Amino acid sequence: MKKKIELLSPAGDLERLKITLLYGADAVYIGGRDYSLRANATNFSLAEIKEACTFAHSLDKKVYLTLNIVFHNEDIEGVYKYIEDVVGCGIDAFIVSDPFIIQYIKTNFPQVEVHLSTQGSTTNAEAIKYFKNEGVDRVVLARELSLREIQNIIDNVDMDIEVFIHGAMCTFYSGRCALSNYLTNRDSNRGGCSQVCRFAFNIDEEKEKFTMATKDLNASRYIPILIDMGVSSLKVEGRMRSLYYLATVIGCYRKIIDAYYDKRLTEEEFSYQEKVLSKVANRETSCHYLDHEADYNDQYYTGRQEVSNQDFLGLVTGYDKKNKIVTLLERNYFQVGDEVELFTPNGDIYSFTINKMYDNDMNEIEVARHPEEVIKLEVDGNILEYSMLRKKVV
Amino acid sequence: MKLVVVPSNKDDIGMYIEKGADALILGLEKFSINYLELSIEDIKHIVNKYPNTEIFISINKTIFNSELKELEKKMLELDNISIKGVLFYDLSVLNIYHKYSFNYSLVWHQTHMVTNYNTCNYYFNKGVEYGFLSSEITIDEMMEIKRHTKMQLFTFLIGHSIMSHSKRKLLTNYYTSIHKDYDGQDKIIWENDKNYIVRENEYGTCILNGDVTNGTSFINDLIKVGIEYGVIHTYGLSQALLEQLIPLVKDVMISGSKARCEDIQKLIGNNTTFFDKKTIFKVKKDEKKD
Repeated sequence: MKKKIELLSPAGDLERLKITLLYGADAVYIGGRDYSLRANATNFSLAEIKEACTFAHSLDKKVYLTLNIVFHNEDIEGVYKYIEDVVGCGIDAFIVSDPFIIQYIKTNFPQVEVHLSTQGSTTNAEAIKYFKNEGVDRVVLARELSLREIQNIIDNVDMDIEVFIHGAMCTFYSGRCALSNYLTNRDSNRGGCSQVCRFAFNIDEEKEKFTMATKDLNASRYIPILIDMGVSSLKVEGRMRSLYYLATVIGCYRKIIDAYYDKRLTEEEFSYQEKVLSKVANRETSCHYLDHEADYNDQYYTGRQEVSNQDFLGLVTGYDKKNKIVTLLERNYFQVGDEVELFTPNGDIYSFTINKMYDNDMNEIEVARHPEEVIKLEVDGNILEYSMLRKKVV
Repeated sequence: MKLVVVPSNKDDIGMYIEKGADALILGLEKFSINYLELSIEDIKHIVNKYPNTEIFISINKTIFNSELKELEKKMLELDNISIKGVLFYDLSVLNIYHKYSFNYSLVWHQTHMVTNYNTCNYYFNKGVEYGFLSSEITIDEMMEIKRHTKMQLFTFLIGHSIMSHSKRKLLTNYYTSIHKDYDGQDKIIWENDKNYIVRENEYGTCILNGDVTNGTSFINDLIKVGIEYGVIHTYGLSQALLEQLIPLVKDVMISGSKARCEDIQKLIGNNTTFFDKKTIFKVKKDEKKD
C-alpha cells in the first residue's frame, strides 16, 4: 500500500514548530542561523534544532533543515562542521540547492536524506534522473508546473516528489531572480530577497504603474488529485508566517487530506475549509500553473494589496477542567457578546457567544483590548494547550 | 584572455570578428533565453564561415518534459558541427550529455548561481570544462574562484546584465490589466531614476539592468589569475558603438592599457555593478548565536 502523503509545514521558531506539528503537520522544515534562504527569519540555534528534532520524533514526525542558499566562497568554510553538528542534532533531511553540498552530505552522512530545493527550479524528468544518480532522495518541484506535467514527471522517475500547495509565490523562476541584488543590494539567493517583485514601477508612456506581484498559491481543491498522482509530500510555504496562520492552514489541509483518505471528503467540507483558509489569507489566492498557464488573473496590478488579519483573538495557555475555565493570551480586540470559536490541535471546534469573561484575577470584564493580556473564559470541552480563539467563521 | 561576443543579430557577426572577437555565444531556437536564437543550419553556416572563431551555443532555457526529446535531438545535431561548447542552465542537458561522447564541451551557465569554487570543482569533476561566472559577485570572489579551480571561466564584462526570468507573460498581463494590447516591443520600467529593460517572448519575461555594466577596468586582475574569457553582450548596444568598443576591449586584453579603459568609459560609462560592490543578505543582527 502506498504511503500516506506527507503534509510539510514551515516553522520560523520552536514555538511555531511545536504548534504546526500538533495541528497536523507530518514534518516541518526549518532554517538554521546560517545557510538558509530566510536569512532574516528568527531561525533555529543548534540547541533549538536538537529540541525540535526531539519533540518531532516523540510524535513520530520529522524535521528538515534548509541549507539552500547559493554558496559563495566565504560561505564554504564552516559549512562542513555545521552539517556535522546538525546531523548530531538528529535532523531527518537537508533541503539543498548547491550540488557540492549534496555530494558532501551523501558521502559523509548517507543515513540523512537530501531533498533538492525548489531553488533548483526542477521542471523535468531528465534533471531529476541526474540528481537521483547523485543520491538525492526527494525533489521539490518548481512551482511553474501543471498537474499534467507533474504526473508526467512522476510516471518517468523513481523519486519522491514534493509539491508546493499553499503560500506566497515567486514571480520569477526560483534561483533565476537577482532583482533584489540589483535594486536593493540584497542577495536573493542567499536569503536576502527584498521582494522587489512587489514594487511598483513607472513604464514607457503609461500612467498606470507596472507591477508584477503574484497572488498567493492555494491548491486545496487539488489535494485529492495530487494524492492520486503519487506525490509524496505537500508543502506549505511560509517560515515567517505567524503561529495562527500555520495552525489554521495546517489544520485545514490535515482535515482535507484525512477526509479524502477516509472517503468522507464532501463538497460541504471543502467549502468550509476554503472559507477558513480565506480567513487567514492576506492576499488573494490562485492555483497558478496547476490547471492553467498562469496569466493576467494570477497577478496584482496596483502595488501591494495585503490586508491585516485580526481574526486571531487569543492563544490558549491552560484549561481548568474542574471549573471549565480556559486561560488565554489576548492577540486582538474582542468583547462580551462576540461570536467566537475555539479550535484545537486535534481538530475540534467549539463555537459560542462570549457571555462572560474575566481578567487574570477572575474579575469580570467586558472587553479584551490589550495584546498579551491574560483573559479567562468559561468553556466546556476538551480544550488543549495551543488551542486558539478566533472570530467565528461564517 | 579571449574576447567573446554575444551577437544580437546575424548580420553583424562578421564585424565583431573583424574587430577582434575570438569567440561567439549563439542561441539555439526554442532553447535559449536572452541569446540570438538560430537554427542548426544557421549555426552550421556560421561555424563554417568563421573556422578560426570559437563558437559556443547557449541552451539556457528552463526545460519541460515535453521538450526533452527535441533537446536530445538538437544536442546530437550540434555534435555534427564543430562547435566549441554548449552553455547549460537546466541539469537535463548535463544528464543527456553524460549519455553520449559528445565532441563539444559543456559550460556551466546557471546565471546567478556560479558563485563559488567548490561548485565549479563539482561540475568540473562531472566533465564540465567551463563555467560562466555570475555577474553578482565581486572581482575578489572571481579571482578566488579561479585560484581554486581548474575550470576555464567566462566573465561578463560589458552589456545589460540579465536580472531575472519568469515563465509569466508580465507585459501581456500588464497591458491586459489596463485594457490595451501589448505591442511585442521591449519596454523600459523605472524606479528612483534607475531604468530596467523588460523583454517578453513565448517563453516568458526577462528583466535586464537598464545600465550598461562596464567591467573592463578589472581585465588586468582577471588576466592575472588566468580567467580565460571576457564577454560582451551586444543587446541594446548600437552597431556604431560596438565598432568602436570591441577593438578597445581587445586592446585592453592585449596591452592592459589604462588609456583604452578610459576610452571605453567615455563610450559606455563606468558602471561596475557588483565587480566592486558586495551584496548583503542579513539585515537584522543575530540576537542569539549558536
